[in-house]
Amino acid sequence: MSEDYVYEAFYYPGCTMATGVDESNRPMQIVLRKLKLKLNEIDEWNCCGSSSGHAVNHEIPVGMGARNFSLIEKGVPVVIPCPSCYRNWATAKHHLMTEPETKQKYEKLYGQIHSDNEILNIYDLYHKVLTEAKAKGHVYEGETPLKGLKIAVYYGCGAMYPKVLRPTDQRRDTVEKVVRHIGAETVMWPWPNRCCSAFVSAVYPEIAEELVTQIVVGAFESGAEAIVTTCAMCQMNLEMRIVSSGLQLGLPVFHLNQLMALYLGEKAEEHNDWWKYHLVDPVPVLKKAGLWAA
Amino acid sequence: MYPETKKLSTRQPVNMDQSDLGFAKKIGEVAGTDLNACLTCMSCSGGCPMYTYMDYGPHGIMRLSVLGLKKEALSSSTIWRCVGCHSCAAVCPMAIDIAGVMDYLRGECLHEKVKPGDRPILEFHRAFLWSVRRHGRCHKVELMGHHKLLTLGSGPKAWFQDAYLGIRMILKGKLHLMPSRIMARGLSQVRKTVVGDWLHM
Ligand code: SF4
Ligand code: SF4
Repeated sequence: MSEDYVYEAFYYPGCTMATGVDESNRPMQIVLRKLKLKLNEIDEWNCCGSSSGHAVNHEIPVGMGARNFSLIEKGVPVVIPCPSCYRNWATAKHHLMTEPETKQKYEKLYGQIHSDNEILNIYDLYHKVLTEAKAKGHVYEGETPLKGLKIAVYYGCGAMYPKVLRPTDQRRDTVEKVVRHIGAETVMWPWPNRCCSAFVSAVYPEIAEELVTQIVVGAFESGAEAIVTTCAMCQMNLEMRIVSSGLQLGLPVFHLNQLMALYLGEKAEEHNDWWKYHLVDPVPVLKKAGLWAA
Repeated sequence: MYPETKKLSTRQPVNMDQSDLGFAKKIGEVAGTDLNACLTCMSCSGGCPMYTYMDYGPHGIMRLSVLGLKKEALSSSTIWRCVGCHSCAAVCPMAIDIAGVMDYLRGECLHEKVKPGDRPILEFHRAFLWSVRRHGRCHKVELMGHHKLLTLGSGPKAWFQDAYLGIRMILKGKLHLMPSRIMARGLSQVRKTVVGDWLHM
């Protein structure tokens, strides 16, 4: 690793981040640069199987994960921005590590599989880096605490695992910690882990509208002015289904990357290239919080 | 889509004639979880976001499985309306991997050619995996189109409203029109693993 970086790892974008969501990708590039994190996209990576892989064949996420694990170098961690991809990687890792015959089967197909490499959620990485920087008293250039922004932190189903996959040191407040670290306020609210309806949103919009309304109204009633999530699908479902339900509460759903970038000195008013992709306009909330220089 | 009437608590006697008592054990072996530990406490259903729209709910499926009522479990709408969010597993006092059981049951439903309890959802999964077989990755815009074709006629709301929102998102550029793909060798590798009974329907 060159001296210019504090951390280097592989990066697995996943299909959602690779075919859209520029409003999160763009600030993420800025955040990585400012935090001095070097993430190298895995060459020729494949889909993790998403919800549909394990839905019809429980071996699909294992096989797809096995191929992804065969594309990385030994000992280098993988950073994953999507909580749902992360869970599929973790499933694959679990099977490859505990069933030697499964690993052998896929090594015949894909060559050596580095399933013992560490995998981590991007927000765990942010948390780690920010905490270390704070301990050292490091201040980032242009650092702007997001004072006055009241946020409901939304994990969706991304922080839930069956017992065998539960990380031993799992905390359920990592994103809250990050959000408070960057100066925003977090609210107590009922639905941080409620499912956003995932693929059901595409098949039965009316079910999705019911689930999403419950979530967004919950955030609104708890005094939040915005929601933040690390999952691009949650972000899309929440904004899309609250809009299609017709309810207008004015609660935008931010990507964590956007708030991180603002904290690290980006100017909200210069980034219409992020805000224009939102179905619920975030500008009024940013203005109200004094984060928008007129 | 209206809330489903629950089928578990009916006045009809349970017909155990065709019950397969090895069923729970078999599921346990494949899904790596002990179904006989289930207390039927309903915690799982209490936290399940889709419970309202299911005919049995996760606790009902656990009970059917323990009783060996395979046909009922495999033909239920519950297994298909489960989104795999793991809310159930997170609260289960017996640490049962409920979503893992659902995965297994859906696989069995297809394998045994039982009529699936929710066809449009199955078609969504199939459209998704076809996209992955084509590109090695999923392409959302293509997926939306493909799924609409497969399920044409299953509700005017789904069709009009979503076409509208989908187009709005494409116009905004939120979804890219072009897929992200992997190259030929990688593709044939991926196709070796994206297989199963869903492919041959
Ligand atoms: S929460 Fe666990 S023990 Fe309780 S009914 Fe569900 S599966 Fe059974
Ligand atoms: S994983 Fe399935 S059964 Fe379990 S809570 Fe989620 S939707 Fe319900």
